[in-house]
Amino acid sequence: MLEAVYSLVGLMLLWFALLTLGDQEHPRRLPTGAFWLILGILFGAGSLLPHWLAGLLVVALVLLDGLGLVKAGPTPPSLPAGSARLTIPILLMPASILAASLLCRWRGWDLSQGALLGLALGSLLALLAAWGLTGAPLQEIGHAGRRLNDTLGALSLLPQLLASLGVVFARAGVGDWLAGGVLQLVSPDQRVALVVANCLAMAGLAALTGNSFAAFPVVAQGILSPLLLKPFGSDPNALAMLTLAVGASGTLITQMAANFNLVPVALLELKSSLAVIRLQRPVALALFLGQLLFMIYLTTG
Amino acid sequence: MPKENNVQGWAVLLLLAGLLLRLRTTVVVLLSAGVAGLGCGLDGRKLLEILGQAFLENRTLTLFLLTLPAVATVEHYGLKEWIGRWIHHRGWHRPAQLLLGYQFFRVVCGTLGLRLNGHPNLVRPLLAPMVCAETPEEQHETMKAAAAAAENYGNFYGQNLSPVGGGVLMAFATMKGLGYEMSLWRMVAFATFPCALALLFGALQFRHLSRRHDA
Repeated sequence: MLEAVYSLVGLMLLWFALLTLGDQEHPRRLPTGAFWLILGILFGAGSLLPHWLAGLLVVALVLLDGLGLVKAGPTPPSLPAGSARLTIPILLMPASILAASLLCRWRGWDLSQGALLGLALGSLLALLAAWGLTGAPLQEIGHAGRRLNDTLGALSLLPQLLASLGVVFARAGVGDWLAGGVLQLVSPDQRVALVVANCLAMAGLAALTGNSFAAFPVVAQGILSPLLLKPFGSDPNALAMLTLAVGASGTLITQMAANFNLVPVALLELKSSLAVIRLQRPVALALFLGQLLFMIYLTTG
Repeated sequence: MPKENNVQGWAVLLLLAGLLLRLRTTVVVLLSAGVAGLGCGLDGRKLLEILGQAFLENRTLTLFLLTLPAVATVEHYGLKEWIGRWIHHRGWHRPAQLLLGYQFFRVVCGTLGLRLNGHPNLVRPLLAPMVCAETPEEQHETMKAAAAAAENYGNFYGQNLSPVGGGVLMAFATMKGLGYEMSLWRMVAFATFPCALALLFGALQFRHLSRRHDA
């Protein structure tokens, strides 16, 4: 099922690529078009490609972006006469995700796949609704979508790229290296220092890799389990959950979490690329300290 | 640190330097993967294979691109302008309450196990225009960033409240693998603490930001 959704994304990117290549006003028509074409191929035909070729295409995407060749074209001003009906397509998307999730919960199907199919279905329904409500020609819808896609640019790539980095890091044993480093700094009987090291490692690793998913297993294996839970016998449910949540403080302050901190900068057309992170920094710090104190209380109390 | 392991250190250092110097993130990530991979003895072809496979296996992360045409079309036909008029008409000039309300809504979504992809689907087309409608122009940059932050605060800490949330399940499986007796519901119970804390700090920040615009 997911394969069909990937093909859909591939087709859409192909459509965007063709529109970009045909747009004479676009400042970087050819490389930007090529970028979306390659990404479209990776989505639509990815499962048919040998992995090394897919890897090579990924490197090509990064090169195009690295040389600053992926750009957004000019955006025409929006039409002033909107109406309440325009919210219908927007609300169809979360409604469809909700419906698909509930259906999966009820039938006992895989929930995360259900949510993704709901997202795809909702996007199609929303597109049809937008088409019907505005009466826009298909060409215009394509150009509008393409321009929004262009403002995101290569940022769309980053989450997948970071996932690849995580795999390579696991192969290279970066986790063991980090855990070994902590052991050399903190002696094993200092509870408070160990909790601090646990939280710093979790937040730091989440900041470096852009999410808690890659960081948690490393920290749980390297610090939480051998240095805190085994010797002091605290509640593993409490400390595991709080350690996981501390990772979010790291995610809130890093450009690596592109889909949360940089994609919105592009989507909202903010002037400073750090606008969202800067706002989140004090809250992330306060949350970090609050959870750290709670964990110290739980392990020493 | 042992000498033969220096490769990992260089790879991490490269990431850190790239972050601090704000170099182009895609390039930094690829270079770091290259250093770590080649340094630990993979050959170039094997590294490309790992990169390509991981990239393809994580295509779900980028599915939200599908939502863009619908969002862009209704925006082109004046959705933002309509929201601005609607908020103005209702005389709703309390952006702090809107932001906190949205964060709370995302916590509820998280508790229900819903993953919404809020930034493209809700923040850009709905929340950002709503909080900007009654704030002066020079505050828009901050208010839009606050809308994105509300999404992140609600999403990050809310998803831990669902026993089938991705992060909770991952942590549950990891700890079980390490030999612990785990309970999903007990884990979720402890997730309420950071979530409540996030709502509190979010409320304080949003109030502070909208106070600044009143003054």
